[in-house]
Amino acid sequence: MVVKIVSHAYCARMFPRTSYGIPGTSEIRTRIGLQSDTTNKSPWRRRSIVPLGCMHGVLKENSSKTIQNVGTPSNAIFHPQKRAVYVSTDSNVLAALSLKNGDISEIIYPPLILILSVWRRVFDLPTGRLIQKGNVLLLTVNLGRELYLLDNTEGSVLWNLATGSSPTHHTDHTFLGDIDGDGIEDLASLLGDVVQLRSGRDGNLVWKSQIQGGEGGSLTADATSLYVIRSDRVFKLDIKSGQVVESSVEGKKGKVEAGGISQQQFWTAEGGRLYSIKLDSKQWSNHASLKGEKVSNVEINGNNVFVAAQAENQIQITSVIDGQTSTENIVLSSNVSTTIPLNKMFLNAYNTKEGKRGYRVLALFSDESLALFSGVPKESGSLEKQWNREEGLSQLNSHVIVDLPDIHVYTRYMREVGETQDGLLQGWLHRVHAQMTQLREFVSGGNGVDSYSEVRPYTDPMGFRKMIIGVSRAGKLFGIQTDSSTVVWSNYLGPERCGQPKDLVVVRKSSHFPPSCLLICSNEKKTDLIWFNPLDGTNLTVQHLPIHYKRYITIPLSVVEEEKLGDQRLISLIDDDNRIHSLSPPSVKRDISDAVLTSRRPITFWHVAELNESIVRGYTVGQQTRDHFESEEVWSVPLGSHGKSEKIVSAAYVDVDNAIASAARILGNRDALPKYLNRNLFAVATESSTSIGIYLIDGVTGSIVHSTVVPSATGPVHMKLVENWLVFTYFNLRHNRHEVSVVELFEQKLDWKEVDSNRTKFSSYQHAKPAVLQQTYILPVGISDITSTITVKGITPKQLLFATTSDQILAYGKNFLDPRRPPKEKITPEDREEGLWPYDPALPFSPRSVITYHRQVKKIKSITTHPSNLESTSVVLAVGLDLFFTRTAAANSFDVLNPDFNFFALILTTGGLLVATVFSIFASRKADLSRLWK
Amino acid sequence: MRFCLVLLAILSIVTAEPSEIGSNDVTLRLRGQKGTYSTLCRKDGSFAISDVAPGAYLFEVSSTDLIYPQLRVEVSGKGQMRISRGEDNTQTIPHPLRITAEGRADYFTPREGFEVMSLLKNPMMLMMGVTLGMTWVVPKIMGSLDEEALEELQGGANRQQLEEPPTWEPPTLRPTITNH
Repeated sequence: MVVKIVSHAYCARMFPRTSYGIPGTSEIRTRIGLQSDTTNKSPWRRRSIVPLGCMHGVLKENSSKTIQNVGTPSNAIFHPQKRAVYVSTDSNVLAALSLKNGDISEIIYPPLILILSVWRRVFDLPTGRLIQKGNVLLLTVNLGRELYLLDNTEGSVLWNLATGSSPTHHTDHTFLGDIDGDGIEDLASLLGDVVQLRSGRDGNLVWKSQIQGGEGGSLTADATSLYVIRSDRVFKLDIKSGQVVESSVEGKKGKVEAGGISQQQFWTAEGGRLYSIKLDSKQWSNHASLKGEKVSNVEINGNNVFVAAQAENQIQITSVIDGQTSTENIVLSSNVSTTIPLNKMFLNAYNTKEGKRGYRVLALFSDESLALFSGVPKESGSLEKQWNREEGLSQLNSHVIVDLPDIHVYTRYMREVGETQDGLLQGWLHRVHAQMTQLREFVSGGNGVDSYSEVRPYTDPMGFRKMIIGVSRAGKLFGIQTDSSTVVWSNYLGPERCGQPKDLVVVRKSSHFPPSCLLICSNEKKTDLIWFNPLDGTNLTVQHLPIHYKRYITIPLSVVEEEKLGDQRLISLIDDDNRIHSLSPPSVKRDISDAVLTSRRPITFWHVAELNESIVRGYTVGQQTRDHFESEEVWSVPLGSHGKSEKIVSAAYVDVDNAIASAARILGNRDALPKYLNRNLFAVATESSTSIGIYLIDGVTGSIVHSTVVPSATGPVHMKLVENWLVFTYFNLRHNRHEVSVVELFEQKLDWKEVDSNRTKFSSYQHAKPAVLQQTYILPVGISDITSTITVKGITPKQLLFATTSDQILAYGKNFLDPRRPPKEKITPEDREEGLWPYDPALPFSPRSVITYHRQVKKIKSITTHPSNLESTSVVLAVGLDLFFTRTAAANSFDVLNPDFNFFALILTTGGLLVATVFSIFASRKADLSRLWK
Repeated sequence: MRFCLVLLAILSIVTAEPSEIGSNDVTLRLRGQKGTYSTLCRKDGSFAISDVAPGAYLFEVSSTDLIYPQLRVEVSGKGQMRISRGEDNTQTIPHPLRITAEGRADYFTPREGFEVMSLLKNPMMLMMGVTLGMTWVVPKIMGSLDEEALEELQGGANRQQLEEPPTWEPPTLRPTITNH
């Protein structure tokens, strides 16, 4: 089975070496953290930026923003007194959501200073059932093998224990009164065929008792007894001693789902019916048949029992009030969600002060949006929507950062392209409006873009504002603006239009109009291609291809070809049989893209490194047949040595779009050390039972440029390949620590005379092997992903960003991980001049280099970086359970004034000099005069 | 083969009360060849990790507010534990464990306020000050010298200038870059 395939397109002899510019500065720079008083103010609130020259200004604040998610709930319990609903989700989260607005962060209302008891706890293992009693919550973790008792006000753990049950066991838990007399309510657990009673204070076992006849059943309790209820039997256990009395019952088949006790009866809904059983009788009674497949929990409110079931577009609530069964139809009033099917719902019933009956329905829709509807049903039966959470954001399959268009460029496009809807007058008015804004911007000295960014999304002068496009596993597209961290548009594609979402590609960048994105989804039968405008989600075009999608490749284009394709990237799909399908965007004829691919046939290379395989294969584009291109295998590299089985666990590629400012490192003696800049290079990591192998392979020839084995190490391996260096992390089993290793490649020799003429192009066929330097360091924390900063021109020294298992992002300058760091005793003055630090195996943990500051960004799966308009700064996006966006300056913001730039001192100095000048004019005149009088 | 083993310990912090730990998200992880175990810290600062298989582990406390040391835990087949800290695993810590935070994590640099002294300490300011001072002081010194000494000083300078004409070479790039 194909788990993940990685492939890439290469053009041998095609990539020009980038121009030689200013070498990266080698000065030692430490990052200066953010001032605490800046963060205490609401971060990301927009403030004006004072422009000094075209790209200079003052950064007045930090701009990091988090979107916190909980995941899709599997269990939910309402607590109206605490104004919260507790949810246990499939993202291993237990959270208290505010009933008022669905928030999980504490909110303080200024006049009342009221703190809502909302919180979130994230576990490493899956969370399960949730039971509430009084002020405590019981949560089962890891398939019932662990129990956590939590305080429901702040979500802190009171105690936790291992139940000792196996994962196949059926488990159920319930709270009882205080049995052991310590004033705290105790807890009963059914684990397989064993019932245990535990103290509520510390979880210590009071008694345990075995029941007969296999597993299953629901555990429930009244004041004197504990009951295990099955469809054919009821076991009554004495609450003090655990003595079992067994009796057989009739009237119901199948399993007994969770339920509750009301009026000495146990109520449960199963198989589309509402059942109850009197605890002292031997007969199930059937109360009502529930219409609809999606049935909610059985809600017990005093003597009343409620259960909801979805029937077509409405929800039927069956209620048993004082023994009388009745039904009521309600409609979840929402403007969008009506067309989206409901997945799950949780019901709560309450009485208003006026004595009316109100309901709360927590509904989870197929697009993974979570909404609370509540209130007294209106005459039409509709319930008001209180809030909505986009929980699809916790499960993004793929995401990209898209630049927003420059307003001036955009306005010009509007005029020149003549956007169809706008007439001549409107176009002129729009232009006048834009120019007025420019004027206002100039006069006020701020970025006036804010004032009408609500109309259309535009970038800011610094380029910090971006658009994040993400696709969730359920197939919902999101467009998120980073400055407000709000979802500005979303589109649920549904299983019809989109199978399993795989990849998102920016096809046309925002510097061209209109920008375009491509989403590739696939299932067993077909591949879906969804083209859309990333700025607003419009122009959605869906195409289907009857192929089984494996991976896409991007074909590098010349300027003429780019123009032919309307400034779009040429994407080709590779299917399971390694056939290549060239894609044509909706506006481009298929012949053009085919012609480009044909012209590029012999020099386009791609390769496949499949996860859990131990061979890498390289291909080139072959003959064109009717609707696709065949591919020809050029090389194959079996990985592993001495017959040991090694499996591919990770792969990393050079990002060919990144600018390289310098092709050499300038050494302390003014010599230059040329970098080995092979853009056909890729890295593959393999794992065997005891070691990790790292291979650097040339994608054109398949030759292993360098390989290294780390003995007694284990994964997960995270890699990043940038310019001429590779960084990878792993866990060292011999010393039990996290380690990071850096491999840097340099040219053995390079004829500098030829650099400007012929050698600006790189040929994988004619290049000598590089010289390799490597160093390893000890990391202070575990790592879940690594990346490197990207800047516009690549001049700024790189910074490595490590997403840690402690939910933070740690930044290290590249000079921390430099394999040229000499041993302490051998350091020379030349090394010092170059800015090399003596080698120290331990990387320091400095809180001031944590770019998430005091916040936690939960369960980061990947971090991505993107350049801003400022050379010093790049923006960072971390995606996991939460979404986090910030910016980082690896070598301080050298092209903008410091946030605490001392304007007062500047004015004082200028003023002082002015006074001194005036004074000296007078003084010199006086002196001249007195000299003449002499 | 899994030994039921409970690692009980208390997490303590430097200054504040233990309740401070419970209200924050503190996750404790054991990482080793046999797998990863984790738990959340309790309200009173204690924690327990159960069912740990024998083997060697790295013990990490992930907390945002406080910095804790990394520990190494070895669990023997008989269920005995050896907890140590430091790179060379020499300092053994008795069980039950009491882990004290090394300090509070300070994520922010203090903001620099405006001071006249800091302005005057600026190297440019110092240079300016010295130059201004010299323009005032030097004529005074020259004036205080007698004429003979002054002439000698000026004459000596002139002679030296005649003997040694100034030689100044413009800085060049190293031939390694230009020639090779």
